[in-house]
Amino acid sequence: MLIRPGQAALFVVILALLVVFIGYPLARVLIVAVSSDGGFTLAHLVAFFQRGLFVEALVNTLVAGAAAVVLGSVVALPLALLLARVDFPGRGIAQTLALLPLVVPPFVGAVAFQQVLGRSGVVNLFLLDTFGTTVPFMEGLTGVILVQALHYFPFILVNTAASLAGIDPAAEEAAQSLGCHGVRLLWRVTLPLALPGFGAGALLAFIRVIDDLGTPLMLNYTKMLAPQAYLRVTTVGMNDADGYVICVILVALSLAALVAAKALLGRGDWASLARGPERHPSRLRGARAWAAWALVAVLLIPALVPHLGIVALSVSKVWSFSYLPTRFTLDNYGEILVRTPHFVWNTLRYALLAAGIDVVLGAAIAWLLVRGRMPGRGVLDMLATVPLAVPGVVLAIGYLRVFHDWDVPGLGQPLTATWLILVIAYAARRLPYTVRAAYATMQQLHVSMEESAQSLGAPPGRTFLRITLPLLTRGLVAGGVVAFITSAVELASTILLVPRIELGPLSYGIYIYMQSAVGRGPGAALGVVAIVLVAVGTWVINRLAGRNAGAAWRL
Amino acid sequence: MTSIELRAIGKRYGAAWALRDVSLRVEPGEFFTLLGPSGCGKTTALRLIAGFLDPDEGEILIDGADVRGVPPWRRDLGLVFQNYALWPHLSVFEHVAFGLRERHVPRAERTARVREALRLVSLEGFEHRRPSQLSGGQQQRVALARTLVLRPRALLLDEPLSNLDATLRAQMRIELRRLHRELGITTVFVTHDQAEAMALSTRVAVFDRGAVIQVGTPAEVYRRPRTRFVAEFLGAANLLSGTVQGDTVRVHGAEGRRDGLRLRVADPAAGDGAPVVCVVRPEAIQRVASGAAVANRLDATVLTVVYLGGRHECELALAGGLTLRAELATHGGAEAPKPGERIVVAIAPEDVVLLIE
Ligand SMILES: Nc1ncnc2c1ncn2[C@@H]1O[C@H](COP(=O)(O)OP(=O)(O)OP(=O)(O)O)[C@@H](O)[C@H]1O
Ligand SMILES: [Mg+2]
Repeated sequence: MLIRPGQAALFVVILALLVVFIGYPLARVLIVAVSSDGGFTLAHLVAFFQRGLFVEALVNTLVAGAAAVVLGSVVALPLALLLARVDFPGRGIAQTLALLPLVVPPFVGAVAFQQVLGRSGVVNLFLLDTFGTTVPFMEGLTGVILVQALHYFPFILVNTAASLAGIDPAAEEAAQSLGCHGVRLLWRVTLPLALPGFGAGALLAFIRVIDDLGTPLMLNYTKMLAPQAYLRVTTVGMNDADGYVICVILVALSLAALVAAKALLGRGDWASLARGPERHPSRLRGARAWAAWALVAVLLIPALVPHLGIVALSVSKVWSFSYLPTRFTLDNYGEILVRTPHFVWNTLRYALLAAGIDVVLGAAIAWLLVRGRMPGRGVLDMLATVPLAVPGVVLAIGYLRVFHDWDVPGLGQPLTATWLILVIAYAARRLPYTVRAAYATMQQLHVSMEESAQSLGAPPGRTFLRITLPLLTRGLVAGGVVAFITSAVELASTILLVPRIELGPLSYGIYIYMQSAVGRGPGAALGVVAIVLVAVGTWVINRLAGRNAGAAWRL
Repeated sequence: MTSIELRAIGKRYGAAWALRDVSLRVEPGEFFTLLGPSGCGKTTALRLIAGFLDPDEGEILIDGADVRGVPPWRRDLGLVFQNYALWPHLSVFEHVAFGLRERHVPRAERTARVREALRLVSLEGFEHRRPSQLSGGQQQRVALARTLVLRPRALLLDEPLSNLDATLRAQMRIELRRLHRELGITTVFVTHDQAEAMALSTRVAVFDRGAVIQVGTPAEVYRRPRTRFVAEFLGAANLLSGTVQGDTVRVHGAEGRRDGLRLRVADPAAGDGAPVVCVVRPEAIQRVASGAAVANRLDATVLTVVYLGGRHECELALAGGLTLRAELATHGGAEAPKPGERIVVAIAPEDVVLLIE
């Protein structure tokens, strides 16, 4: 088959970009972790497992991941069953509320949880006043697990609900007609059939938890892998091999989880069977509808109340050792919008640029993957997927390693000394979203649509511009918005890569502000801006993707 | 053995009636078919019997007992779904053992009964396969086996053969008939395929737009359709409108003929001057020698001929402007008709069925 030179050039350029900004930095991290004085060695790896602190960090990370998934499932599973199987007035609202925790950046959530559940938070004040004792909800690993579980459970919810909705109603009716109903039906048929989605969601949440740097840092708990990697590199230095070993272990964990999730979802025998008619759950009324809402409230209030705390904090002058803020002010917003407007401005700039890059690259890569004929497409696919399993800390450390002491010709300074490095990091981390969005849409476009254009005289490049691209737009823009909102609240790679404080985005600003007591107000105000940004983005996705709005959070 | 009776059943989805005033009685041991075009309410009727839907009007009796409020899992009826509804996470053995476990049948007996059921549907040796590793016909047998193993009071089958290809369908048809004969179980079978209904049923209920139009043995509904819809749905038919005159019908549309066209009928069933429609099945039209002394002898010109193997489907033009569809047998050395040939045909009076309109 003839390969057109234009296609070949595009392929080479994109492959080069992905290698330089994804493949090579990761390879360097791996190389540093397994070499000394230019030779191969496993000494660093062995040393890792001999250091008590590191082993503890590894165990803590796994425990946090597992516990957050278990706790998250306790919230997510009943909600998934309720939302997928029962119709009640206001179900759409409940659905939106259940996704809301995703909207709040986890480290903002961490602050909010401190305010409500922390040592001098509302709940403990109440316990102290009433029972004369406090509960250390937020101390150490417990706090991290609590915040992450209540932040990431929607991943489990969305994936499980999708699986539940995909179950053939007749598969359950068949069981009923054989005498199986109620809880036994749930146990013997419904839940086993929803298992792939649940498993994928749980693994996705697990990846996010071990990837998360902001929450442990905010809660000042560093005995986990991501914070350890961060600390090694920032305190011991770029040449300390331990930091790289931790990175390799982080990537190995995420990669294993990602592969497992894909394998679960790819079980062909689950999907291939014929489907019956659609399910029409009857609408609950009266007392039963109230019962449904009561369940929603019990499950969601713990996850949502802290976020109200952020809003309260952002408009309060003083809020400590009292249930609610005692004096209100708008000064915090003045601070972040007038005195330090660059945090918000930088965020918009970086996130928009990164999303733009991702949309363009995503469309091109998807096209090359679906319609292209170049050998080596597998490599392209892999490089564009792998960021899903690369924690932000790891990518940032790779970037520092590769670009730190290399002056870009024409720029006169290394990439890492400019804000460009942040845009590149965001674009690299979120690329899988746009690639997948474009890929999915493209697979549904029939080749004949393009072939008819070609038979009318349009060469492939023109066909792509005139036929394929317009059809792709919705999916691409939805993917781009996901890239935008997730970039806007990215903290892990940001902390490591921000060259100077005035080049920092909003997430960095929150982090800096929250270090001091007086900064908590402005930090919370920035948090509210982040929430608004992400909420607007989510709304746009809903408009664009309609019923498939949850798709961005699915695997 | 079990009887099933629907009494004046009505079922609504929103404002639209899916079933209206449906009454029928399935006798014990019968193979009873609900036949009708897509969307006429067959599945709805079956699901009402199975207990997945509640009627808005009327009552359902199983073995004479009203089953209102009895949930599907207490009705002890075996329902087989159009798409089989197998569970991808269970093996063939586990499928068949599923209902036995619900009924707490001890392990040893369970295994024995599963083996027996799998033997019944010729699936021995497939115990450990998953549904995705089975062909369509095998999946169908698993769906059957998992209900049969419970020895339900009755078997409810919703278009069980419609997902199979033609050969497999013919084979499963024979299989179903064998099973019904061996087990003698009351069976309600849903299909939109009239040939399937003819081949399998003890009796057939023909549905149209949510109502039962006619109930009878396959031969009755085929040979004695009560309405134009039944006549046309159960196979090709010539429909000729006319007026009763004594023991003949004067057929409209043949006025170009010298003294019109009159068909002698066995049972006029209506007085002189009544408007009727004559139903004549294509195979009821027979070629006769030109001088034969038979009733309803007609001269015709052959317009088109399609060979169907053993018989020819012809379009015949009658003198005076009517055309008829005929299937002429050509075995026994009879000569094949050719387009343009002038032939003589006859219709026996008892093969002319009258519909009073
Ligand atoms: N859940 C439902 N909600 C609304 N209308 C329905 C529903 N189920 C069926 N109907 C309507 O009721 C009528 C009867 O449907 P039913 O499924 O019983 O038809 P059927 O005879 O089984 O058709 P087919 O041969 O296509 O399976 C149809 O017009 C259908 O559109
Ligand atoms: Mg049907």
